[in-house]
Amino acid sequence: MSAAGRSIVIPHLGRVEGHGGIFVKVVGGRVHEVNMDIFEGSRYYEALLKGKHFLDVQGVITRVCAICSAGHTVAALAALENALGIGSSPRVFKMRGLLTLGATIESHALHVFALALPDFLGFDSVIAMAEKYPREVTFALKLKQLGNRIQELIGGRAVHPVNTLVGGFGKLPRHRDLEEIRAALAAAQGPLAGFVELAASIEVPDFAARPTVFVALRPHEEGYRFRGSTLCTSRGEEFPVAEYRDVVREFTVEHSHAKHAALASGETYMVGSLARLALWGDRLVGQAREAFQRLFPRGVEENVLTNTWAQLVELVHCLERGQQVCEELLGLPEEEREMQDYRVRAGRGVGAIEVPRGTLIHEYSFDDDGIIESANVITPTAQNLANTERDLRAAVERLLASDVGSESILKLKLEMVARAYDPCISCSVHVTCL
Amino acid sequence: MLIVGLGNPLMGDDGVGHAVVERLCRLLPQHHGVRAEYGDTDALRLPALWHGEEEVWLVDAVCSGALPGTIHRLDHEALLAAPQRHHHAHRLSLPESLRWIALGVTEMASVRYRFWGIEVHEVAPGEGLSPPVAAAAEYVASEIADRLA
Repeated sequence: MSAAGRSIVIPHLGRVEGHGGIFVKVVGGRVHEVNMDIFEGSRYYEALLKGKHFLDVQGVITRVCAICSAGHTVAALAALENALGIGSSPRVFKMRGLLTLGATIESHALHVFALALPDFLGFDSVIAMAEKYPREVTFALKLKQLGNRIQELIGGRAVHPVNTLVGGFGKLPRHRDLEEIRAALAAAQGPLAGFVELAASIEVPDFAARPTVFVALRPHEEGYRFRGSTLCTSRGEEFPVAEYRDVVREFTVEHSHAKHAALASGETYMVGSLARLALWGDRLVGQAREAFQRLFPRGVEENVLTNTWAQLVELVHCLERGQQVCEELLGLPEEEREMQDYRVRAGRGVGAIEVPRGTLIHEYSFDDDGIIESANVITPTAQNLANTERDLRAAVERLLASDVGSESILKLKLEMVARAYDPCISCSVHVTCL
Repeated sequence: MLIVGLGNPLMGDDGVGHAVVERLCRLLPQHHGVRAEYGDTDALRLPALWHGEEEVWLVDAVCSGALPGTIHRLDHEALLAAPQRHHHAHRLSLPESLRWIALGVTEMASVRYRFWGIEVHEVAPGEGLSPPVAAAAEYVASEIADRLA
């Protein structure tokens, strides 16, 4: 190795205007620098919202991302309704919960089966995987479509919901549609159980394992849930979401277009499925509990590469929980719409929700006329970035020490670490590269 | 016939697919047997928009290094054979999405695609297209309407 050192560059994680990717600098056999950059669009959307009416927030903020649009919607509505001092009716709360489950099914199905599993099984892509696993690849797309169908039914559209409003819903689902969704969720359980067995047969490498602080919302009720009002860490701390600015410190770094985040203590942390399982996995029931025990026989370990398996456990949970929520909604009388009256007043509100990639926080303040004065969105990917760099550093050090082989193998393994976080690299755009 | 415009109208030239669909909705008479839909940014949601049409025409923003506003036209075979150019941690490319749809949604396996891509100038937060991309959107909308006339 030269005195100037060696650079390992993976430029293809980002997609817009060429920026994004992983950069590693090794000098004298030691890892000198590890940077990861992404295009993270939510910052720009905060600026777009200033001066608009709070009723316009949803139509804009859902376009931060295609696959996270439902999560942004639910988090934004929670924040806006907190600012207005209104709560959700039981039906509205359940419907938003079902919307979140649909979004999680869609997102996890895509990541687990199309983006991560090919890495573990040694395929270039989900298409290449189809030669050996045709039924699995077909089922994965159907599972993703089921997530879309749920979002379409509740949100009014498969992407960028329009039916979700401050105070309620413009249109409520018919009972026969809920029954259809409940049946589809039940029908997916069997094939998904087969995937759990397939995953259990795969050994997950530990080259990126290192001590990690996990952060997730405390579920709002007993059970494994994706909404709550306090943030918990795996060190036993707990904070009200409304005080997130005292807990989560966002900061800029020279090498990244996205903000990074750390706890007030300066420690980096991880949010997402693995964090949720680490904190609340003991609340899982039914087949999800069985899947958790099957895939994590020694409990959750501090190894981000197992995050994909945590997502698989959550997929099983979402299928079961989705059926329960449908059942609960079917127990309510069929109505056309449900909207709560409210009075516009100045206010500030924070809303948080567990989305597929982790804790998503929205904060808005508006004046007496409802005009947005400030907006702040902290995405899970931004929270995970600093931790991702620490994991990448640990991985590079171990892989170089163990003589991993060619540089292409080293790069693939580093990509696996980044991919394990399921980073949201701005799917707010769709550009085809030719 | 289903026409789908992909992209995000709040991200500058990425909204060109939407812009073409918007123009087509004005140009095409209702009784044509043609639907033009906004596809947003996830091509894997195409099955949700599909109602059994034999042909699906797609319009998307393109990045190839050509001059902004350049129009790329690909037939079915060329589009599906296009290499995976987005090695992307979060989503699949359009060709790979279409190949997966053909495998996973058997009813759509025989769908024939046609693609219009418009080279972007700037993809950044904000509404409206850059002048060369707006002109290309007008041209593509007219071209599609003429083909359907």
